[in-house]
Amino acid sequence: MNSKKNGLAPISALKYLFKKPHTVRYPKEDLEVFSIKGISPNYRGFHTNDLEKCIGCGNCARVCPASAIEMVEYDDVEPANKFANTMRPTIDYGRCCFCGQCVDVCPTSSLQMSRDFIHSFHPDSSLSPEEEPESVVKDFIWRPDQKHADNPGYLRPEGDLFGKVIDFDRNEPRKEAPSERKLSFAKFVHTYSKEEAEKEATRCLGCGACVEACPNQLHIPQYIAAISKGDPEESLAWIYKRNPLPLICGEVCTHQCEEACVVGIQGEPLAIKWLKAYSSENVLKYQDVVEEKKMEPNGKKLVAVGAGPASLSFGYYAKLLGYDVTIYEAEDKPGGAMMWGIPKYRLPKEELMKDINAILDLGIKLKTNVKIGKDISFDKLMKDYDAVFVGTGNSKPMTLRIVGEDLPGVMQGLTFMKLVNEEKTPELKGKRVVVVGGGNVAMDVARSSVRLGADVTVVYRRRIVDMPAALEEIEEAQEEGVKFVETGVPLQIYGEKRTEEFEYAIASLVPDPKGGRPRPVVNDKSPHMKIKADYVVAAIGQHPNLDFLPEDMQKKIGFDGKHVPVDDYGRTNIDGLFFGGDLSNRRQDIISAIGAGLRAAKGVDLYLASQK
Amino acid sequence: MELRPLNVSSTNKRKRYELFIGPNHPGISGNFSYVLEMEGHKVADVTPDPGLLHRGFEKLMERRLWTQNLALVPRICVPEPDVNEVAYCMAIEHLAGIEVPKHAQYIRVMVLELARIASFLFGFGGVGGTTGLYTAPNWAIGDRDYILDLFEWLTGGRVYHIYQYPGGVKNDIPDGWLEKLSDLLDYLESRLPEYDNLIFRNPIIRDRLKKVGYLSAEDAIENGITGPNLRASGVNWDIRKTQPYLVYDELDFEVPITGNGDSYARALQRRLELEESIKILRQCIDQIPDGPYKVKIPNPFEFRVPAGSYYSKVESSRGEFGYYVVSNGDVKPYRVYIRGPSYSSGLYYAKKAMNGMRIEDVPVWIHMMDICPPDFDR
Repeated sequence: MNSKKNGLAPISALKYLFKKPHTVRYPKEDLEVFSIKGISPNYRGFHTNDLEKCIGCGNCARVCPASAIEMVEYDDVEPANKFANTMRPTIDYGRCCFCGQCVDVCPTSSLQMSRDFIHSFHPDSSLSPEEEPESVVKDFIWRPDQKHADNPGYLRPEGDLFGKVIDFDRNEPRKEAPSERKLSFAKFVHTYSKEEAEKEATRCLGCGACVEACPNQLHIPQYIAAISKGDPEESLAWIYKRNPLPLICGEVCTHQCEEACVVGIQGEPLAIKWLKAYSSENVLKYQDVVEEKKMEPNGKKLVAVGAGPASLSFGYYAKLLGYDVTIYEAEDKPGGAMMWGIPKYRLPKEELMKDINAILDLGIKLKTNVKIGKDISFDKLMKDYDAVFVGTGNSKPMTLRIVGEDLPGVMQGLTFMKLVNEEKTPELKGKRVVVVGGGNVAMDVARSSVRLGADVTVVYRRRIVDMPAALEEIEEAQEEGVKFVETGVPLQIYGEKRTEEFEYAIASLVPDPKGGRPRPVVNDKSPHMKIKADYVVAAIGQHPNLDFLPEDMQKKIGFDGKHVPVDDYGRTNIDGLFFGGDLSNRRQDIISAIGAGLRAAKGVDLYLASQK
Repeated sequence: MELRPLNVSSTNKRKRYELFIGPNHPGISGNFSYVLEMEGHKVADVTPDPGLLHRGFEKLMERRLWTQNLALVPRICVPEPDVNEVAYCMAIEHLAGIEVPKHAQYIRVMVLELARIASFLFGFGGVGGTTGLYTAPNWAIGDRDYILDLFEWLTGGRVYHIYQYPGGVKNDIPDGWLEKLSDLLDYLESRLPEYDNLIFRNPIIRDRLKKVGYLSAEDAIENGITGPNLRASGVNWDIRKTQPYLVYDELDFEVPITGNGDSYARALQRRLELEESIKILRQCIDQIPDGPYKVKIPNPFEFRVPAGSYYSKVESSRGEFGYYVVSNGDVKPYRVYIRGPSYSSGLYYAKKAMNGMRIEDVPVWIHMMDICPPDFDR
């Protein structure tokens, strides 16, 4: 540079008197630097929110460093999906610092920012001085909608997964290859290692959308956060607050929470189920870490019929409240459907017993091989105990009602699974097994048969997408070589002395006028098919068996052959008689049963408190 | 307002009086005050009076998530907010072991150098402002606005960009931005001779700045003065060269040393460094590799920085800007300490430097040292 002193040099600046000034005379003139008219295409101005897409998860409100966003419930919006709510972000522009972090974290990409930033308003001059501040506040706080959407600014559009601050990729647990796992009944999904679990847990946003979806409202964000902190014991303590069978649920839960997970809207949902399995497996003795308060024994006696998940959960929470609990079980081992219905490759028996023993160790009396109605009358239970809880579930299988069903070689799904779990199945190596049904029991039967060496075909009356079984069960079954027949309606089973052939019709699907799953219809034109079958297993559902109840009682509680109507606390029309589990739940799964047991324990407590 | 009692010295015949420079005064560079004890027109003693600007940043940061703080840190320094974002992110990345992609590192260098130029231009304005030459601020602030335009395009914000993120930056460079940057550099380069004519060759400015506020190399080191002020005293020390961060070791630039130690040397030092920044930016435009603009880190609610502490530092337009970050492994920082470059000069060295200084030289000294009060009033 030339830095020589020169008195005339500054005078050269005078030439700028005749040049165009720097100033841009907005709005007559506009900046020319950007690719578009006006301000920067990336500008962070007022928000826009697609109210139909927004699910009200509140992550924007939680991430806001200025605490400018509040979630407010509105009645003019519809929930975006069945897990969403009608809360919508409402922004205080007196607080907002326009940093855009809410846009970065929005899991649905409904919240964006526009290039509009000019806001003016005229306070109503007719208002009294007391009212005026309130009207000014209203002008600063509003609910963003699509008003500014035609002028988009700072955007994280749908599909820009990399730009978001959410990790959308799920870390699946390691699984054995299908060719390996179909050789034995060993568990084939490896529980997360510490690193894997922590990596998966850090994907959680902590919004709690999953909690509403869980039939038992577990403290999901809390237990996941504990895992990401590296503390499986704290995690288990959180789980145990509402679920005393953590490892079982970790392995086989129907995980509706994962359907609700907001990360799953644009990416893959968190593996909440496997994270629970991780915590449970990494705590040796549950009672060492659980911080639940145990009340002094109050001398009152309760009884639960059937040692399934509902009764075990009922027993645990009633015991915490100070009751003396006895559980009667007809079989020689506790667990109910978890023991006899679920195959070992999904839930090893030692894992099942770890959960059950943790409950029984609290001092709950378990009496096995006792059949109510035969060994002890139900009336005696009602007389001897302060309250009775029935959680016997569904044990009466539904039948196919076709010709040939009484042939040897035709079995019911649950009966077959019991034989599998007792390792008493007939020799299936090289045999052809036909499984009728599309539920989880059907998948269990099919995959167990594969492991026993059979050639398996599943016949279902609707399409695969309509199957009530979990999608991953179906996929894994296909990987293991199970064949699927869609829209197959069973017609007849042929055979001289035992099952030889199975005939079914290919139905056409008619849409359900009520909007449910399509209905299979068989008419004269439907083609008939026949396949060879050494065994036919019907896994088409089951009904409760309440034969141990006196008939007048069955009538009084309103049992219709399928369901027992109960209130939120499992109460029936009879004082001191509580029901729970598959008998009375809308969803027939373990976590719903655990929830029913928990609520019934509270119900019993309320009932007995009112008896004094 | 109640005035402080006059401090009347019994030994000295001449009466001493108190004079405030700031908090609201054209001679001060921010919301900050020097309480001068005057003897005639000379400064006898000076008491820096911080606290007027205090916003409790460091404590606020302990209550917020790691990434939430990114909306807060740029507000610590108005003339050059990006050094805060980069230094804070660099500390987090070091603690969490995050490798930033080359592409993002180049973007960061470009942002830092653009911010440095913007800050130097602000400084040119200061030269004019304190000497009564008001054309200089008009020009400098106008030219700075062209840089802000580019910032607005790249980041969405003009002054506070909130653009850095642990692991990289928030958005990739928009199409056409690099060409516009190149045009801007051409323009700025063409303006440099004009600035020379207006400021640096101007006899009035030279007379007003030369031999004012002499700072020896020993004093500078003793008082922890860094950056252009240190180099103007003849010490060759630039963190970009001595302890290179980001991709500065891949870039070819020189660190000019003026070495006279007075206010004119400090002003000239900035003028020369501005040219080097333009050189760096041109290299970045040519060399920037393709690649992702960030690596993903866990979401804000679950982003836990492993326990530990780290001091990250960035060469800002005023010197070493450091972030001492302590983590206990939680989702929020345990402690963040910010070392602003004016901390040593504006708060401690001022007492020594201003002693005996004439009142009209005080604003010159403040602006040529580029004292930025938020550096010590965080």
